Amino acid sequence: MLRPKKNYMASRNIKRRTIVITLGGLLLLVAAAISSLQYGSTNYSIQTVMDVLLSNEESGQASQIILDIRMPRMVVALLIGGYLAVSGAIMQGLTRNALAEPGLLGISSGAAFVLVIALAIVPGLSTFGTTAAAMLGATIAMVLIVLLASYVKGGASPVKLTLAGMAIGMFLTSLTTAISLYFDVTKDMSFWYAGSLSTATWDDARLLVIFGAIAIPVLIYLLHPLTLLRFGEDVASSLGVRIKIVQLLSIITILLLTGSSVSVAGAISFVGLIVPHISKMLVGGDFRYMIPVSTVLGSLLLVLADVGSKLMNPPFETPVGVVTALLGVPFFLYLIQRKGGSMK
Amino acid sequence: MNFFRNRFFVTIISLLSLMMVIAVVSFNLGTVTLSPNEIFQTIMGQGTERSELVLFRIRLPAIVLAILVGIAMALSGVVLQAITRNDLADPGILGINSGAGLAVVIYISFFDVLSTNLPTFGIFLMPIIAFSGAMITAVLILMLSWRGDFQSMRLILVGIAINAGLSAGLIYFQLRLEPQDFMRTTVWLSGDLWAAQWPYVLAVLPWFAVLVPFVMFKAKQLNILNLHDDLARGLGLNVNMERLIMLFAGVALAGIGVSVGGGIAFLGLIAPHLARRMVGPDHHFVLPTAALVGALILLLSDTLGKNLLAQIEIPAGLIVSIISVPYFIYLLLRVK
Repeated sequence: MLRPKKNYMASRNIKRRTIVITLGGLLLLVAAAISSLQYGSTNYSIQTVMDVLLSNEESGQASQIILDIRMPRMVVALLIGGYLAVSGAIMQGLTRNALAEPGLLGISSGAAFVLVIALAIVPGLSTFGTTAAAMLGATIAMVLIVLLASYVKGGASPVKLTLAGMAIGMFLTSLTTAISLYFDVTKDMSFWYAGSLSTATWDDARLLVIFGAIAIPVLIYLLHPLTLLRFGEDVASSLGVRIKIVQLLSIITILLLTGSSVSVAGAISFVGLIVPHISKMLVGGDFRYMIPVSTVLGSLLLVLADVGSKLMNPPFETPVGVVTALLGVPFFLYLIQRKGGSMK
Repeated sequence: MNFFRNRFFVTIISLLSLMMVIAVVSFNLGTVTLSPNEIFQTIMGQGTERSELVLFRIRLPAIVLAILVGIAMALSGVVLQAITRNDLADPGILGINSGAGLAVVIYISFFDVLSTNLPTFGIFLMPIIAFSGAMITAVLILMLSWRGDFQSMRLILVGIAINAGLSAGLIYFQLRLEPQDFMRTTVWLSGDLWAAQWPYVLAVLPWFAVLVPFVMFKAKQLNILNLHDDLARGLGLNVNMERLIMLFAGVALAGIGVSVGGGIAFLGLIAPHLARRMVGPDHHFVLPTAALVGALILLLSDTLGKNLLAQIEIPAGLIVSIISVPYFIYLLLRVK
């Protein structure tokens, strides 16, 4: 392909920048991960954490807490943060909509809805059952939103999509609350709405890894077409992108990543909104650069938010969804302020 | 004009009679049933002690409350839609309900008033607290969406954002409560008209007595505000002042409604829409009609929620949402 020289230089610069930011992000992530192992109901010094990690001995209270409780939790936070950020990025690219985000569009409400029905029918649901229910619910909500978006006159504007997502979310939430009141599982469910990592286990981490492993090849295939899709469907299809297939694969990827995250930790909103925007500011809209940066920054954000959720109100844990909302709402407002005019 | 006027009277009369029917039916349902005959006798002062207790102490306050809250939410919706010139405005969507709810939940969690019973003082304080919460939220939304002018879509988006933040705050405070209080606040926040006792009804009645007539008398101003700003100014209206006053009234109505009814979303959205379909766009007709439609929907939802399932009561607000969302989505598809 012919390219003007200046553009070529810019692209090389971006490549370098992406590498620098990704590496820097990874370093920060390691630091955040270690502090996530340090803090909790009892705090440990870095020395203790290092000793436990390096010596690998399986005895003593400290090593038990760090290896069996905090470690899986940290890993889960790391994975979910990345997953949600990538889902958000794909969603924003697919709908060309700055406000698209799995949490805001009612997908978590869908997961909670089917889950509460499943819990009502089978009280002691296995991890597999929970996951299946949450995935099914996420799929239903997603299909509803996509259908709605395609039926709106003149295309779904950001405002309409957000409103539709909110309405579907409220609808499903109302049904969920009614059902959970009936079967007396309200408090269990509320933890879902706020998102929580406090019950994360190695099983959850394993589950996330499996889903991620399925999604990654699809994601890599999607990077290029999604970048072209930014210029509009006509341009993309004239450049050889098969729109329908890309849309379908994108939705499947979002469902794999979001569905598994929601089934483990409940509704954690705003990560998928904030991170892709920041990544776009840092390295531009090319998905080949934006996705790696988003993944790292998403992980970083959620691990930090999780540390925050432990420290905000000790000895109680603040749901991590509350922490991300605290960060996300001002950012959302900022986006509205900046893009207010173009969002009709 | 005459056509609309006639239609208005027909609509009002049919709504009122429908409301009577639902009220009688809801007397008739429930754990203790009263036949229409018994109801009539009791009202005439010839009922048994039991029927008097059930009718006047249990059923009647619930019905009056549903009607009052329905009116408040519907009028609040009419006012908000007129002053923002946005058909999708609703106190629930804009986060005003959450603001009122958050204020009350903070009050409950700090003063621990749910596990003990509310003292008399607290009963009268609740509406004021809910109102302050609603007002602070409204001011916040206005400040954040004001950029030299008033863009109604930005207002809605800011409302959604504020709503998300407040909901997170609600969860935070709710999780600090005792489990049984948690249940109660969850039910309360989904709009279950919990305050169905005379003291509560009397505590909010003065507010209604002031606000409802006030809004009703402002029909002309609302008509003008619904037009373009320049036109409104040309017609001799101090637009910003009038808009602020009406906003105050609309938010106050929503806050009072939430304080005794809990967070009932979408009612303020669909009641005005249905009213406009029935009697046209003139606020002289829309205001009373919407008030009645709101009261009717809430009364119906409350009756359904109490009797649909034998074991539990479903909060009326949930039924309202379940009924209204399909309509809202239909509106979303239609509105440009």
